[in-house]
Amino acid sequence: MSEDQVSSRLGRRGFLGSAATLGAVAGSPALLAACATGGGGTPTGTENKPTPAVSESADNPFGVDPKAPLDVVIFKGGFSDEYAKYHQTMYKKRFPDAAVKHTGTQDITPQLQPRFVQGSPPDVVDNSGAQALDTTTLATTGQLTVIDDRFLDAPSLDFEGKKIRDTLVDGALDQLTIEGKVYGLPYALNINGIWHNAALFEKNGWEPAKTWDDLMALGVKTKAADLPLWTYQGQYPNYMVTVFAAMVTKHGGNDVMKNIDNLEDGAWSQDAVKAVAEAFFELKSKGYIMRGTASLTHVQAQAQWASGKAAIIPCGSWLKSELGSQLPADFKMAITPTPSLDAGDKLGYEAIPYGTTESFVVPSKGKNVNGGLEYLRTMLSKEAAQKFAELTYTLTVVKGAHDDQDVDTVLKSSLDAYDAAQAAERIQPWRYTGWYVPMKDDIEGAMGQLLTGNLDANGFVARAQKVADRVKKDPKIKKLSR
Amino acid sequence: MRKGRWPFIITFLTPPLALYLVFVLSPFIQGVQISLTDWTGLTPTFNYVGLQNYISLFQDAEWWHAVSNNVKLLIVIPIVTLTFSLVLAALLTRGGTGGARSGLAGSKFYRVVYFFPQVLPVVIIAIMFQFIYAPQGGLLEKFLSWIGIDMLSIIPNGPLGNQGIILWAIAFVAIWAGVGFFMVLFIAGMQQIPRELFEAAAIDGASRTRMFFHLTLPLLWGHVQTAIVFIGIGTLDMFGLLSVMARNGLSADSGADVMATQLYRTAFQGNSLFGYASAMATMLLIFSLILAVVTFRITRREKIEY
Repeated sequence: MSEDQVSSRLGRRGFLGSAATLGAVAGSPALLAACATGGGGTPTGTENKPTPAVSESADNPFGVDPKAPLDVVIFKGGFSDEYAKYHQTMYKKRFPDAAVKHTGTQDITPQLQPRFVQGSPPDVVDNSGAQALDTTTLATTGQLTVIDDRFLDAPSLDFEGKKIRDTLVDGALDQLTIEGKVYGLPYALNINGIWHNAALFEKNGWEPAKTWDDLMALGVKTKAADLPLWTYQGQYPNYMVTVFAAMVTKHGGNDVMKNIDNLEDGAWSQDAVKAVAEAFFELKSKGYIMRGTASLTHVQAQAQWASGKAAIIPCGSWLKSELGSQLPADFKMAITPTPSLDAGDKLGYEAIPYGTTESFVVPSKGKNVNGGLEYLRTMLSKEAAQKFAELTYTLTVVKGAHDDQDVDTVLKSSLDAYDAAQAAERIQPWRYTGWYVPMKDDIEGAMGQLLTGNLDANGFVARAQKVADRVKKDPKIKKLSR
Repeated sequence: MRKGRWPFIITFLTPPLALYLVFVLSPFIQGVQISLTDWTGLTPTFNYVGLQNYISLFQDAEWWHAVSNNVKLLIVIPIVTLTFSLVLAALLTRGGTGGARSGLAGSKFYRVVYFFPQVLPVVIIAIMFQFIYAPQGGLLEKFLSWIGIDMLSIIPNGPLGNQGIILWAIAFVAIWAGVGFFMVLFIAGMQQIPRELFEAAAIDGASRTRMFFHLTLPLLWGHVQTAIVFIGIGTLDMFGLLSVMARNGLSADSGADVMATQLYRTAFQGNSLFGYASAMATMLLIFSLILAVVTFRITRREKIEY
């Protein structure tokens, strides 16, 4: 390229070029919209009842057309998508004439949003991960098949004589229940707790803390051993919001988080919220959080913990699957519930939040809705659930599927924690994180500030309340309640 | 030729014009249209809500926070980047050697080295700097501890975990990545300046500094002007770096949030507020147009023929 060309290239034309590049970013919603608003819009039906293609039978309760192709999109994240391929083989075995199309991706929204707008969504979507579609909006605009009695009363695939509803753990469908209706099947059952290396704890004679005082005492001991007590997924303080909400619920009862979810006035000034915020501030001010934690990604923080740079890390039961080969051989991962704040806690120490992830939905405008439901029925079989647990070290919502499974020790630790929790009152899942994403983001940011000492407990509470008030007043955001 | 002129012109102009209309103009126009609706981005239907989105936008403290970050970046990044690249370009061409030679020894080598970051995709640069900034065992931390400084005590929680620092830590990356490109642009411009002018200036006894300010810079002004617009618009965006290094602007309590990242979250990660996000996009469009117009106004000078 001659010098003349170089300089002329960056004249006005260069400017227009860069303006267009900017437009590609600035106008990306608009670009998508180009295909949306251009064509004639079909009116949004509120609920499309799927019609059976062939007559329904015990073997084929939804009347699936055996020849109809099935289009499955799986979120290929921490759990990968091997388990789904297995589930598809199971489906294929029963409907050999059906072509099953598998897509494993992390870009759920970029790939599927245009398809929803055009009215040609896939038949089954594992709507998960950072790029997940907004389920609430999809549900309230009638884009998802309602999981009703027709599905729940259908016979289980391999639990003899049981209906599907009898094979689900308590609260399995809570996460996808919106205003009393169920819009999908959350599949993985994650226990959210605090992880430690049992081998290290045994060697030093430490005990996992059952109360906050225990934890502070443990902090003194680990400090003496030159080991920071605590680290967390620094850039994602939401992991700590999970610990926070669990401790708040255990301390003040389920109504506390319920008030927060329902955007009640002054919900964040409730005593239990303040008390736990004080405790978190203490964790920071006593220097028990590993230095530099706040700037670590979740991968970096978890790797630091696995290499013995901190004693404790909060995480869900997917941690082993996510750590993969980073886990040293002599490491004994074990999960425990969050500590009780004090003796006055309303819920027992054993109470542990178990949440469901991997939201499988059946779009109502898919071509093979019955096939989609049948795929979910397949996933709820014992065989499918065990395969999932075997591949991901994570339990499923299928009740009793894992009891007789030759489980891995980490899976066993989750199962024990889950079983123990059955004795205590259940921590109901808090919902604002899914309902009001802007509020989730802002409170996550405030949590980061509390844990780095830039906000004290009162500052955190005041800021969270301000955010909640703003969301409450925002007419653009649809309000939900539980 | 006169007879077939119109068909000839139309044949050549129609396809690019049509492409431009379909892929550039119509999305812009539709973006503005959508900004007047409550569209969620997930349905075929929506309602018009007038200017409601714009009214809430102007009352949205987070948006103003994002705008203020954009303004900070717009002041710092162009000035630092262009100053650096001008200095480097001058050193590597005749201007830097007092007109005697065509650049410092090894200038060809330096040109290639400084241009390297431009060859790397922005995501790779972002990930690389995430490792450099890592608070435990990162290059920066190791280097500082080698010269006896504890990074975490001067920057609590590391560059990407500190609300006050994160924006500048990422601005540094943008500058590092941009200097090489503008250096090459300026070198190209400087080489067009006739060598006689440098020789004449040298005979008149002009120092290198004087030569730079009174000869090189005025004759290069057209290039500088283009560069300012170019880097200004790039800085208004910054989406690539911030998306990776700051979790789409959320890291460190939104310490490095800018309009582009907030817009992305609002549309794709929030409560599907596509209409609201389109209002943000429209404002971003208006800002970039204003930026371009203002820059051309401020930097307008008489053209020097040579």
